[in-house]
Amino acid sequence: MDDQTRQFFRGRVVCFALAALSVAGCASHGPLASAKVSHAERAVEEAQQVGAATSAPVELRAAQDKLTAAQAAMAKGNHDRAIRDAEQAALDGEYARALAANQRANTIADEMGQYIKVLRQELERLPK
Amino acid sequence: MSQRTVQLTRVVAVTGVLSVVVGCAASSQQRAAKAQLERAQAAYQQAQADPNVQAYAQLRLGDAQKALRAAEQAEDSQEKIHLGYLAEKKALLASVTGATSKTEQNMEQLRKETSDVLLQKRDRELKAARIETDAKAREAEQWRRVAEARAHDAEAKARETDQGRRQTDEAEAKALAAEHAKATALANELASLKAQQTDRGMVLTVGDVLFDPGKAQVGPGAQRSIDKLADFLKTYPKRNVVIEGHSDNIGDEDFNVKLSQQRADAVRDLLVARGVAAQRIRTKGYGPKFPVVDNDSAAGRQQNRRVEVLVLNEGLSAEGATR
Repeated sequence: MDDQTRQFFRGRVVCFALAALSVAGCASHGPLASAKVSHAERAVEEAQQVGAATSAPVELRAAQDKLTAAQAAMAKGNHDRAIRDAEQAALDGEYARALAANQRANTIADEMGQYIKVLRQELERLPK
Repeated sequence: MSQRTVQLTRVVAVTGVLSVVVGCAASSQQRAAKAQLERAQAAYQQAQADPNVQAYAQLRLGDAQKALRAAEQAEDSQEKIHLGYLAEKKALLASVTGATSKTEQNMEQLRKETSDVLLQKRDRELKAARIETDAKAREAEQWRRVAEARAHDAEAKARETDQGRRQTDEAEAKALAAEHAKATALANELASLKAQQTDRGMVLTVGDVLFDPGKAQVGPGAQRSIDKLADFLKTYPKRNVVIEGHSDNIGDEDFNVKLSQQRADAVRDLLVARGVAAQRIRTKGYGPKFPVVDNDSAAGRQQNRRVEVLVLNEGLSAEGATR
């Protein structure tokens, strides 16, 4: 084997190694990405269930868009991208859900405040 | 060689262009990463300063802090942007969670307050109901009392009426008794005056009012009888009297009539002097026309020389009440 041939083989080995690495990467990131996407799906679903569509429409939209992107990346086998998009989608969904919960709590607290105000007025009208 | 040089030059040029493009891309990405990191830091600082986050979202804040550290330490710009985004969202999530927890805490307070107020309200409502019931009972009691009072009043009135009637009866009885007593007294008095009931009234011959023959002077012994008669007439002011004078049959008739008239007038004058109104008295002299006994004896003649007082029944006028 001359140098050239040796170099060629060395290059090939490097190439193979890289390819193997990349395949291994894909293989190890696949389930993770899949899990992340599932998690994002659940987060978006839960946000929708608490009425985020009306109380946090911007945040929910962002979550849905990123989930779609994650699903698309997943389909293309771009697991890194899928993981990132899914992570962001999950957090966006969680945030939308938190905003919805916050708004709901505020509404209920306001109603309770009104109710108690009325109660107090009624109480004042009664003899002590 | 020259061909190789050209190739090399090309490679260098391409590499240069590529490196410029990559460099530009890298610097814009770095700027984006820096901006994202700054947003994450700002969000984190805001969350950290939030007392609600400190109170209710420590875990979330810790999460955000870890994410921020990771973003800060990321070499790769794209990784930095990604981690920065996650850190920012986690910080925002901490803030919202803190706010929500605070609101939930307030709600818990409101719930307690509500049940408190509801209890108070129920208490007061019960009290009010009791007061109303009491008031109704009081009202009923009042009505009962009013009714009772009315019944009592009616009873009292009835009693009063009864009593009044009784009083009236009593008064009437008293009056009757008084009348009776009066009548009795009158009768007694008249008896003491030797009165005789006649259809004209009571005729009384005033005892002891005797006259000397031919005289119209009332003797001193007659004063008591005159006093009694005057009292009697004053007691019965509605009874008028006719005083009749009589004489014995000795002497001239005209003289005797005149004498008897003078005798009657003498008695009248005595009565008037004792306070009996003159208009109640009428006098008449009859002379010897109506003797009570025979004029045969001196004693008989003495009895015929008399004055008779006719006490007329109530309301009868003295005028015309003559024989």
